[in-house]
Amino acid sequence: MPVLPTAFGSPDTVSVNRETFRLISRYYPAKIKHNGFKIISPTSVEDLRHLLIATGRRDSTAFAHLYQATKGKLFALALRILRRQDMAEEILQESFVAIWNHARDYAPEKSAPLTWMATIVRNRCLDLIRRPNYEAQDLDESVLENIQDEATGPLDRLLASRDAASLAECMGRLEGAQRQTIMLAFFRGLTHSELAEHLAEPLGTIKTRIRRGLMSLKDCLSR
Amino acid sequence: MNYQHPELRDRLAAEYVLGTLHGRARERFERLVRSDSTLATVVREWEDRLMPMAQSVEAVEPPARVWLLISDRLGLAPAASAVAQPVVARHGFWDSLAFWRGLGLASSAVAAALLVYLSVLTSGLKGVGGGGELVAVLADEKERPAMIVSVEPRAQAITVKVLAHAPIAADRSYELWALPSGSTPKSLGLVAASGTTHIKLDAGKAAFLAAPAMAISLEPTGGSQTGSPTGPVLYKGAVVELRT
Repeated sequence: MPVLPTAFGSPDTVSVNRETFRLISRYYPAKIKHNGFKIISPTSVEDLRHLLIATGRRDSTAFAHLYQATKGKLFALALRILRRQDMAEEILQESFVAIWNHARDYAPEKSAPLTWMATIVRNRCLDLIRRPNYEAQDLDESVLENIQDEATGPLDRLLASRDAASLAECMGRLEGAQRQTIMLAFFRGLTHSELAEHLAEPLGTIKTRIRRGLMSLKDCLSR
Repeated sequence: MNYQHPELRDRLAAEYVLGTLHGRARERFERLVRSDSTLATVVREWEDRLMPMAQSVEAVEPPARVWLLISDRLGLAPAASAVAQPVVARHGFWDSLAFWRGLGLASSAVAAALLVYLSVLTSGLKGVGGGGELVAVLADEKERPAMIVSVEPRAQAITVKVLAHAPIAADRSYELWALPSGSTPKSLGLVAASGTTHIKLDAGKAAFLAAPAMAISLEPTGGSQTGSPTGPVLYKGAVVELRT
């Protein structure tokens, strides 16, 4: 969303939606100079990088913007893995506390910002669902609308994200069974045995399939 | 297991990131990664390869309380809290949901949304801006713009343009309010239901221009008699300063 300087108070800028910005531009064209305003695009890797680095310097406003920009994706990720709204909220909260505390360790040259953040969320989720008494619950209908079965659909959403375009393409080149098994493993954190049971296939088949799929991905992504 | 074998390391790293490495094998591997920086690099490479899959989920909005809990736990500055989410401010006439509900608003979601705008204001007023022209786009709770307000602080003049004419009852008037942070709304005058209204403020009211937000409420003809809004708040928006 475009960010404009406020009058009379901090924060020094306020986010306005694009409609508002367009209106102001239309009525006062001489007054708006684009280089005076910073456009925050939530999917821009560059912006996320800056926000995360600033968070590492204890810039709480940057952290708040970072939260705004990424909360949707990260919450959806947690929901997908945990299959529970209440735990997803808790994990999201804990993850962002961890992000605040560890942002200083984020090395921009080493990983993309959303990758770094998603890893934090996902690791916490996987730890949780692996506890013996963990039970998924029925999610609210409206939430379920956003989460499709791993076996169908997510490829289009992968394609929508610039950062994930390469992975989407390479995933597309996998055999259907490889792709499905890999996505199941990623989002459910299942063991080989659990996958074998879930897919009703021999353990050896699953292990080989995953290994081959991962090697194909590695090869494809290195080009 | 020979953890030095490069193919094995690669495979274990891949399975660790993917999530198929479990139990004691996973714990062993994690310990290894902590002490072996080359292995850590291999893990990171697999994270870069596979983690974008996490972006394949369609975003789902988390409840507002999550941010409240985060900022509370970290003791974040109010400005930061305000950027991200509605915060029920600690004091002030406008800061209670009960007040907003009392205005006859449809739901507490709308009331909470209005608090977002208030939360954009923060403690303390700086001086009356840089002297530049001020603009506020007043929108309804669906963020549809209804009016544009422009303020020329030095001339103490306000111009209100109605963007989308909506019918108004014969016994009602629109009233424009300045919303200074931490204190009660201040009336800036009545606004016509269509077209452009020009308001010239007297010296007493000019001080009210130093407010980060404005709102329009629906009042009986002639405006509120109480000095505060008595009818529903229809439109509101943050005041921004235009730089030349």
